[in-house]
Amino acid sequence: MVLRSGDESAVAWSRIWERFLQDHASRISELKYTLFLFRKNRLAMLGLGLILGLVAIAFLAPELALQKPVFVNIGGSLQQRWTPSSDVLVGTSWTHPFGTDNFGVDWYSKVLYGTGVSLQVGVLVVVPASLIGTLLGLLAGFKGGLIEEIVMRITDIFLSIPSLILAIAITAVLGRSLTHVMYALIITWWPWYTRLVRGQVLSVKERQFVESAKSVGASPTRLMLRHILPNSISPVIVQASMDFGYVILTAAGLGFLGLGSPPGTAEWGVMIAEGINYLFVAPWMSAFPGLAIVIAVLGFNLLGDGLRDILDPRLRR
Amino acid sequence: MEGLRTYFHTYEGVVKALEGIDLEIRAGETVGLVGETGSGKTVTALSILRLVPSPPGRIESGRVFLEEPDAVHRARREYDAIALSRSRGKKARDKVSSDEIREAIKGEISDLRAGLAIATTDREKESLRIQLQAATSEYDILQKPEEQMREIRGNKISMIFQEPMTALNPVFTIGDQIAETLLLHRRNELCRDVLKALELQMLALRRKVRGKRLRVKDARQKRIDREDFSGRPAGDSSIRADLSTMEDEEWVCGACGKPAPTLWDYCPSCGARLAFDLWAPIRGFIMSMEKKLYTRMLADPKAQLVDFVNSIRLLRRLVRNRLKDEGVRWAVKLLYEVRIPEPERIAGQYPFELSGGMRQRSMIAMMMACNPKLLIADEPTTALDVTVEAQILKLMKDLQAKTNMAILLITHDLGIVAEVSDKVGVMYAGNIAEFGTTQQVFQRMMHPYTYGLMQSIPRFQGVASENRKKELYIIQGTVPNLLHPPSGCRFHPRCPRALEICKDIVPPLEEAEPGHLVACHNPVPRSEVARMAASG
Amino acid sequence: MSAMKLWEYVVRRLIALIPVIIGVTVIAFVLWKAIPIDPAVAYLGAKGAQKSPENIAALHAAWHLDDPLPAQYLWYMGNLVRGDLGPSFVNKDPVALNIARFLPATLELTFYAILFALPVGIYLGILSTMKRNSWVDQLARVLAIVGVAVPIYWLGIMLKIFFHENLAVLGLNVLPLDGRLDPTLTPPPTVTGWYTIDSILALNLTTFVSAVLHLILPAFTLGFAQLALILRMTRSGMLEVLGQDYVRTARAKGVPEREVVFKHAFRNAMNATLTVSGLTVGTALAGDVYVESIYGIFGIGQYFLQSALADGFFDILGYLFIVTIFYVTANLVIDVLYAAVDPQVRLGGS
Repeated sequence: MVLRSGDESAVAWSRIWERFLQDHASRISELKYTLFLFRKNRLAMLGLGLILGLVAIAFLAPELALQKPVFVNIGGSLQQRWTPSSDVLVGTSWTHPFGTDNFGVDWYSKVLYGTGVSLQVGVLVVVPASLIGTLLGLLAGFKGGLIEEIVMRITDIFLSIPSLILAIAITAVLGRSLTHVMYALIITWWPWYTRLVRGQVLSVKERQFVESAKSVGASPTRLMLRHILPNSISPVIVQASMDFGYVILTAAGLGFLGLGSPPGTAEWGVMIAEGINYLFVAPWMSAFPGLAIVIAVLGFNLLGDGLRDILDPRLRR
Repeated sequence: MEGLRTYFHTYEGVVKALEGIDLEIRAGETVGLVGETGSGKTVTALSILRLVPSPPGRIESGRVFLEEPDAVHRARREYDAIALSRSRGKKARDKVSSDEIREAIKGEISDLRAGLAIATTDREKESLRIQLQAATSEYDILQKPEEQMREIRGNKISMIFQEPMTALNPVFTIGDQIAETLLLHRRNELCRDVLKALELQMLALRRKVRGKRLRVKDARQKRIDREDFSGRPAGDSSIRADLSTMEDEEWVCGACGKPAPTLWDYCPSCGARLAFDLWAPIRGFIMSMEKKLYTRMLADPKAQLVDFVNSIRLLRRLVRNRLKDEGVRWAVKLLYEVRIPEPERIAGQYPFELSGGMRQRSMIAMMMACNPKLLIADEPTTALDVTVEAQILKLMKDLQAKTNMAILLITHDLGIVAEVSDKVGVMYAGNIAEFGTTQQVFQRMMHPYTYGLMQSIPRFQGVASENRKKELYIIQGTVPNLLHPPSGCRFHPRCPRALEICKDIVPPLEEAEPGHLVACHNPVPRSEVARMAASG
Repeated sequence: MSAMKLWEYVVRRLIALIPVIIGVTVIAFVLWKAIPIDPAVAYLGAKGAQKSPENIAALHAAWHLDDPLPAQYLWYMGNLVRGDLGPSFVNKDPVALNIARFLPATLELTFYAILFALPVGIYLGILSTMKRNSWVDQLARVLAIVGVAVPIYWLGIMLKIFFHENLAVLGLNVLPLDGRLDPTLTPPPTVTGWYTIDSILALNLTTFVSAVLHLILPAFTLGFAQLALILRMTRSGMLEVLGQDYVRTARAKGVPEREVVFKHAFRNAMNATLTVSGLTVGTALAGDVYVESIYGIFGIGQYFLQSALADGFFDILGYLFIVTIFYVTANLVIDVLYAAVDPQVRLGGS
């Protein structure tokens, strides 16, 4: 029988896949169990639903919006420009579900576009911050000694300044822009992960399976990556999912203070600030973006809470 | 205990943890309750004290009688019979609660009440009272209101738990925790102690006795004369004798030479002030106020005044919490009785500073403080080393001998039960399978489950080579899921002697020989039991 | 309680603080140096800088701007220790003076906010675990989840709208929305800088009432987020403790339920509550920035904001320094409380 090369490689690949499934069989069944628990947890599902909804909105904003911005190149960066109309300061109505602002721009559309901005900020801050923080925490907890001292001292110093204040200071120093806000937030947020992970590593280090791995001759890197990391990671996952929400909150706060995107941009914080001048005349201007923030943070909080319950080793099985 | 039935209403369904438990424990008796994990032993104990966690758990029916006088007991049997025959004909005896009984004999109860009202002679009144108590199931603690239950817990019925590490509160000292029991249930005695101590201290104050805490090694060097030990008659040579028996580093009172541990500011023996008192000038006045306070408390035990005064932290420096002080003194005595060395030092320590055996002893001291009538011990030694286990068990038996209390010993260790208990109850899946004296159950067992348990004990003696070659015996199958327990006798799926009837009808707990009860349709015959006993 | 051990502990913690504070000044210094603008130019303003280059040179000399970095740092630290925080870019007064001027308002606001948030949060947290699934519990659970999702700045604005708009319809717009005092009243003579205290000291009831009314909305806004967090942590701490064996033991002793919860359980759950209280001070100080700008209160939060927007170097540095001191002190107090409450911390248990 002649095997054609296509068949050969297909067979080879399926063998590799089978091997993979075999090697990681227990991990995979753990994963399946986790998913099952997840589905059982109503609140977590709700959180996930909210988040997915927001993501959908972010992607579909151009379709769902009633008005679209124009992008103008100013000094090398793209900025949003919304065309004014004559429907100035109109309240909630059929044509304008969330009303309009003092330029007659449709507020609903701006809120929709703001979703994408906030979610992007969330991802671009939480992912780097958690990675940096986790790595440093692993290092500190695992190596101990001088490295641990130095890392933890630096972490302590950063944590001694309330997060928002540090973020404002950094943004003020770097200049007003959304990118700078993100940098500031990354710098503000990483220490929490370091502290968290180090604590976890310290307690995981003492557990018996680490000792047994060591006695079989595992190298330090292997110990760190294959044994300690997977067992320290669940609080990080929980924290990161909740931090998505808090970062969005804080970023919008900085936008509110005027330290982020320029005025006129569709960013929730900026929009709330714009509403202040028309507080009693057009309360919807501040109300709706804020509501959007609440929903976003709520979604991530529920998800995080749910994850915490699910990943809690005491509650499994 | 009659027909105790406790269910847990969980998300997945109703877990029928206890399905009609009958048990009897007499004063001075040790009853062992054995069974596998999940058989319901702990739930039984918690149900007695009504400590079953109440959102999922609930005591559905049953009655638990505490200290019911014999006369009332006899009368009650009759009333129960009447009530049962009336209530919907054939309701099984183990599905009732006292409410239902009372409902059924309403008429009789009101008759008795009327009779009691018009009774003239004491004898009549007494007899009617007995009848009334019997009819209303007066001694059933399951129907008592929560405040009365609280007075029973820790006082009449006490419970010690399995894990002494976690059962003691980590933020309070041992002395405080023991004293708490006394503060809850023995306020009057404590008040009297306080007043006595106050008298002593006020006397010392008036006589201007100078006291100062001294280490024994320093005290030995002092001359024993009026100036130095002014609390005692001059030249009292017994002081020297006392001091010679004490350790160098211990503390004594500078006024009378008696031991004065750092726990207290006043010498317990002579009342002299041992530490610096900021309020010395008005101390006498303060003490007279305290005296009034505590005298008033003695007269009216429910008064909240003392708690109120003690809760004003600002006054703490001024007015010590004397009730607590006396409580701790009492606690030290109790620690001594449970054979803890250096009880005063231990009383000031926290649970995490003690070893497992000491913690368990402390817990025993705490729960025995009020001399309970019944001590429930839930796996008291499972978490301890074997040597410590022996000491704890011996301690419990000795305390029992002193106070004539009953012990309900819950365990899965047949060895302990055999050593320590007078009677044994074997539990399986929420039922009592067999009950009798230790000898009856261990040597003349009747229930197939008990038989299986005894068989599965590994043997090394006897016909040695034969035994060593045999496989270990195991009872086939596993403990049933109490969400969907088997019908009829819960053991029938695993029982080698199961009959058709076992699937349908729950076997009642019946007396097979005097004092020996078994719940089985097809108990193990004597011959087989004897054969097993013979083989080792 | 061993007093000796407690003091040792406090001293040890104090000593550990020093490198942290120094570290913060280093960060602040780094921030300053990271600003791309010439401080002298910013101080004089663009026009002023153009007009007089010699002023720029003078400032450069006075502020040691051309010295090597370590020397600059030492110069600043030297001044700091002497209490000189440099001149403000916001209003040409010394920064130290500005801070002293604006600090009391913030402290007053933060104090009342925490005074509201802490007891209510703790009490609700404990109560919700006592009666599972009662309305208290439902409320607490909702608050715990939604409360932390609400932005402070948005809440402040919504409250202003609500108390203006809706209640005006009902004729009930009682609560003042801006500032610390009724514009027709004069502030009381400054003793502490707190209007509430000073007006009492001056025996001026109307001023006192006005000050209190003006504090209600801002303190509530600031305290709300803290309340949610405290409630959350207390509740989860209590739930964990209530499942412990020693709670069962306490019940078995006959301890009344109320005492079981508040005395036996809470003492052990306090750890979580203390932790979050420390965080609370930090988030409150941060939230001040929002609340002050929304409600028109001139505290250091507003001051900080102005300096950030005006690139006020020394202002920012001074503010960072002060705020850090507060935050760190609060956490020190919390650490001491940890030791006071938990004997294992105190005595170094296993």
